[in-house]
Amino acid sequence: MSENYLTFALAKGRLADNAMKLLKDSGVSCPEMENKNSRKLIFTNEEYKYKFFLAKASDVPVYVERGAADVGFAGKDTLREEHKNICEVLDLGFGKCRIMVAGYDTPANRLKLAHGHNLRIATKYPNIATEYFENKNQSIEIIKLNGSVELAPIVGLSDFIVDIVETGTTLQENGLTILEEIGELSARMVVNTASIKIKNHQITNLIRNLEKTLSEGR
Amino acid sequence: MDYNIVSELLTEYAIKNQLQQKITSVFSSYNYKLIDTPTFERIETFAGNEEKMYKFIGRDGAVLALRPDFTPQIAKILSKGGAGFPLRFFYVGNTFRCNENYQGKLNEFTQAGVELCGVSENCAAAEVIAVAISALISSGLTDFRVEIGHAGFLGGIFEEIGDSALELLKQYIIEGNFVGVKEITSKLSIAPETAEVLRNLMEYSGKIDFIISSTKNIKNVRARLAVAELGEIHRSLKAYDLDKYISFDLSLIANWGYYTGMIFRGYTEGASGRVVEGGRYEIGGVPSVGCALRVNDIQKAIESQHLEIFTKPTVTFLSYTQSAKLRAFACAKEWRKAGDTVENSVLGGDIDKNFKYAKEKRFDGMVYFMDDDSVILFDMETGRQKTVRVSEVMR
Repeated sequence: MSENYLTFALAKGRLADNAMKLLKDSGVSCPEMENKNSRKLIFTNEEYKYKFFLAKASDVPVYVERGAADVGFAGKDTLREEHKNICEVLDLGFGKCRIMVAGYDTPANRLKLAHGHNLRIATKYPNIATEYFENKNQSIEIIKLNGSVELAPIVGLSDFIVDIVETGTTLQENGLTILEEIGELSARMVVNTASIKIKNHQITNLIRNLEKTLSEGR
Repeated sequence: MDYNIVSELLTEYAIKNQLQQKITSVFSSYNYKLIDTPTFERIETFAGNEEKMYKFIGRDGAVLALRPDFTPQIAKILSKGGAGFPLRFFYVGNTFRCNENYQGKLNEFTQAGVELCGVSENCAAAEVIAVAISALISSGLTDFRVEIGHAGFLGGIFEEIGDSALELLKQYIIEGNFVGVKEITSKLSIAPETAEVLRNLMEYSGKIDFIISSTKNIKNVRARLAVAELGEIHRSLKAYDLDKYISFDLSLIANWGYYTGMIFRGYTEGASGRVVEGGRYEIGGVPSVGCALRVNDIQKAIESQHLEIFTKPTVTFLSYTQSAKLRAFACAKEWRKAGDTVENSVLGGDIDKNFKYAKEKRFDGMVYFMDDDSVILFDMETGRQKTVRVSEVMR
């Protein structure tokens, strides 16, 4: 959180592209960042005093909580998983997907998921999974994976998976089915709890402009 | 260890020590009295949030905890005897909380705070805010902001909801999840005016005039009372000439749930969270107002804002020949009495060795006692020496 600058942390990938477009449409641009060949880690707009950097999605809440960035753009999945002390101020509407429990659709599996115990769950989201099954009063064993979670039930690593699903094609192609829905997700704008007070004017204006752009786009 | 590293560390401790002294001298200037509490006691004293406490078992099998906070301990003291109110306490010391790993959060941190017990009037709330702001100013911070809210505002609004969704709504507001608040509000079956308040929650912040005008259509009695109280607190702080540091925010809600009236929090650049937090509560049934400053975070913010707050003491290096030793010690005793800082040499009588050391340590001056009668004064910049009589330097 450098002085006078408003620092943005964006989750790398499609979310960052969408967020930059939304920001640009709302009058916050960074020409330096549009050069795709740049190897810079941090981009600056000196005229309006903005700084931008890209980070791994799951790190965005950390940067914002610790104040290294004033504002962050990240998926609700990471926010729910990381559970950081930050303000979630705006639903950006894009990056819509759902977080699901999936697995083979057999009667035995359905029964197990509904009433069974000691379910083996492979996931990138151990906290979300734990919370969900705790609310259902079921004990689970979490197997934390970092990618290609669909593989786990196929090779017998786990009974089910907890993962985000956009279209469900990957699941279908591998013979897996959505069995339960945990929640809907989309991209969010988050703000550091101190920045929202200290840079209140800048941030409130930003929120207002983004809201305007979002409602015009609908 | 490299001397420079030690020196850095020592400076850091010295800065923290000075910071604590500055803060507590503000507390004293309002006639708050220092109170000391045990570092650990039975866990029952510290109600709530048990998973964040460091716990261990005492000899008698009782569960003990390192103090996560001072206020519950002060409540315990108050509950023991009905001394004459009002009572003003201040404390300074370390508190302990187990935070998650690898997040760069301290598990032991220093808090300095005050409690004003036995006064239910708004002047007490204004006084504690004034003490907190004055303490922040004395610490050397110039650019900080104190946000004031009131538990009664949302408390009143919540009464109109009485739905099973209330807990989730509260949780969202505490977390600052305004997206969630809007989502829930649209699903609740409540009066349109109440829904309007919840939807606009984020907007109710700023100057007192704005707060009063933007809430003038709210009918809820408790909420109205809360806004009126904030108005009164604002008037008092204006009299203290501290109103330029404050603004108001009605979305503030009590994290620990024990605040019953005014709540406030202070923020500054370079500290990722609040540097001070306080409000009105009941401790042991006694209406009180208190606040706690986070000394480590204030120090970090001062460092990141490049504020010069440290006043380095002027140090004189005392060296001597073996025969002049007693005379040198006697003189140094007088100088210390007069308030000077003097370090005794342990390097023997070699002048060059002593000077080299004094230079390395960046002392402000060096004296070398030749014998009972004459002493050499050194200019640390140029190394120039001047021999004078001892009686001259004693004046």
